[in-house]
Amino acid sequence: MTIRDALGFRDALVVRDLCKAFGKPAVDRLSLTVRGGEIYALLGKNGAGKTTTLRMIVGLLKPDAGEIRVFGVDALVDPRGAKQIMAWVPDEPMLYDRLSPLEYLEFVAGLWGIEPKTARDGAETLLKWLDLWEQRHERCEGFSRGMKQKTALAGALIHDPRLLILDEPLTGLDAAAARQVKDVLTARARAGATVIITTHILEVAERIADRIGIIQRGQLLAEGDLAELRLRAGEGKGTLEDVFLELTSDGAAPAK
Amino acid sequence: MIFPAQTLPWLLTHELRLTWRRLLNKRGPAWRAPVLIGLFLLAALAIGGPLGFALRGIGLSVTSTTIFAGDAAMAVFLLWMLSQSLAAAIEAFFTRGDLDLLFSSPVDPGKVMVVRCLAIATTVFTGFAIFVSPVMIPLALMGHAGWLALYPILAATALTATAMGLILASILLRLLGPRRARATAQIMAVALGGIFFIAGQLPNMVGFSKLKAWVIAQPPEPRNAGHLAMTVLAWPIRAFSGDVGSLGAMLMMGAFAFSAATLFIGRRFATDSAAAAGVASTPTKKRDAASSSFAGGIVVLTIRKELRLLGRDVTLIATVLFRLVYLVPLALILVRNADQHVAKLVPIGVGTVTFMVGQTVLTLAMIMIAGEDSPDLLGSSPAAAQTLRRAKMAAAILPVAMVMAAPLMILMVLEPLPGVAAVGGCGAIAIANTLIAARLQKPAPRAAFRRRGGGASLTAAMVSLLISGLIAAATGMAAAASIFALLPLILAVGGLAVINEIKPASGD
Repeated sequence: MTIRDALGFRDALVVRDLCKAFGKPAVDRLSLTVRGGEIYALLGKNGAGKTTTLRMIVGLLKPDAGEIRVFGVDALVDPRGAKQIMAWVPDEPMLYDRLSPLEYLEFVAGLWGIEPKTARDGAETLLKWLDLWEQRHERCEGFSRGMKQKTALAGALIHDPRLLILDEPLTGLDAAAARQVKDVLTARARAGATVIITTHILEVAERIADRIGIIQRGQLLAEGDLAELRLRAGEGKGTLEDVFLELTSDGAAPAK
Repeated sequence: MIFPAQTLPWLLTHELRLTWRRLLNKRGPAWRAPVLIGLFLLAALAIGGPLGFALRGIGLSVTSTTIFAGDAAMAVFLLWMLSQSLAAAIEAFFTRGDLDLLFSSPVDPGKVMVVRCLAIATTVFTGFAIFVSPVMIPLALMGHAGWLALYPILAATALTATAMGLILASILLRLLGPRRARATAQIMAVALGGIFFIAGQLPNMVGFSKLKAWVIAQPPEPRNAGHLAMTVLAWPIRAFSGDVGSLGAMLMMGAFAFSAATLFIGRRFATDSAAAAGVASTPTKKRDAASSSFAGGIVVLTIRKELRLLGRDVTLIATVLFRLVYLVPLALILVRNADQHVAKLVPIGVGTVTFMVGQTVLTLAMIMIAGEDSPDLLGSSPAAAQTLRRAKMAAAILPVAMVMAAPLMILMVLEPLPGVAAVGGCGAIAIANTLIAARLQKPAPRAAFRRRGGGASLTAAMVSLLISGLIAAATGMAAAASIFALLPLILAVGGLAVINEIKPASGD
């Protein structure tokens, strides 16, 4: 038993030797650990395998090999048990254009089997928090990208997930909407939830992430907080961008 | 390109090139093309061949009867074409595609509009030309080459129908506003498409005797075939029988109508199109009548969600209405035959209605099961995929069950055995078709199903036709108390057992 275990910390996500190939390997023996209550940023170039990894974690893709544990639940043996405590927000919001935000949350709450009263109260809180309450009866078809993303985020939060996974949640958002989404994520982490995000906006990762994982060609290249990554990259006071570019330059070796 | 840039032929070439490439990119299973060619040849052999043989050496004289028949055929073609051109015209205003690029360029918007309208006319004409070819080509080969005049007649009709569709769409846009115009146009298109089917069924619905009595009651009209032959009414039949003057007049009339329509709406096209595009980007202020209750299990919530999505999508409603336009009159005929105890017709009616129920449910099931806009949401949720699929199957059956409940109950009261057979058959065929949709229909965005027949898998459609045919035959035979009903029933059950073993194609 480690000291962290003894203190009651529990890893939110443990991935071991995860593999997935689409003709050629997309994810290649990837292992990573995300601690409970932290914000973890998964970075990588386009096509590095980030989205494939996340889709396997949330149960949308079946891995060729490997192990995924979400708060101790084996996601490959008990996918429903794992899904019950997770939420997934892809880069394109999963919405129904002809449903209103309130109707959307009603349906999502049903999917996760939330008690009607809890769901109704939660929906009201979330929509007010995300400045969507005035639009709760309007259909999503006329929403801006930011409003759609916030509606999808409300859907992901309605069942109060312990692990929240977001793929490029800030793409295409204006400054105000991006700020709101970032505030939501940090608030959830402060409340004890674990957040995993992928992003190409490295400043965001630098500012909000507790730890960062960098993957390349489906393998974990480096993992740690910014100081650890700087050390590994030999970039004394460099920004995350400097560290990322250094580590992902050709010739960098995968993390042990 | 060979034409100078920004000219009408240059734009038209661009449009045709895009259309051609879209067709080339529309990949399907390898067997699709040979099967379609085979069906075409089969239709030519089964219909065109015998008809051509029967009509060998028979000329076409211009009499009041043939004039009336020609006009009636023309009216049918015109209304069918109008139903297509109206739907296409309204979509031309809404579909942005490359319009933003074209309108932001210095090209005259009028030219862009003319090219779009020509594309609509060409599409409408091509569909009908393919439809009549299995009959017309054998007829031409067997001594009636002159009847190929039908093609230019169809072209003239397509131009006229496109003109009417464009003007109607533009008027609807101005009178009702973009959102309501789109809904109205789509429902009108379905109504126009179904109007002749309903008219054709009038004798069955009203009864031959009543209709005959009504026709006879009309005062006799003095007829002068010779005079009639010189009027516009005789143009279709005269053109068909080789009169170049009538054919030319029809083509000129079509071209004139088309030009007038493009001139009429030309200047407003960019404005109307921009107004239509604004609809999608402006948040609606409309309040939903039913407030969300958050109550009910996942099955109830899924059914509610599917019915809401269907009820708010006018294009999909129109697609379903297109089926119901055929189903409802048939159900009424069935009840009428049962009421009058027309023993021989009732089992046939039961079988036909059962078949149509199956096809309507298939359409709904394809939309609801395969046309899922958020497969990732369902896939990442802990709800069992099977539960969700069953809820969607129930949602697909529910609207048809509501429409059919009353006629089937009346039938059960009037004719108990056929009534029970019909209820059982309709239930079985509904379940069978939802199963076919769940197992064989490939997932596609719901938008793909907004075109009539769009998004639907050919494999699922063909298998459905076969299984539905068997169940409908079994139901009809059961209604006639025939023991042979078991034979098609066993075959259908066997087929469904095989289908049930297939891994679901839909991504939910």
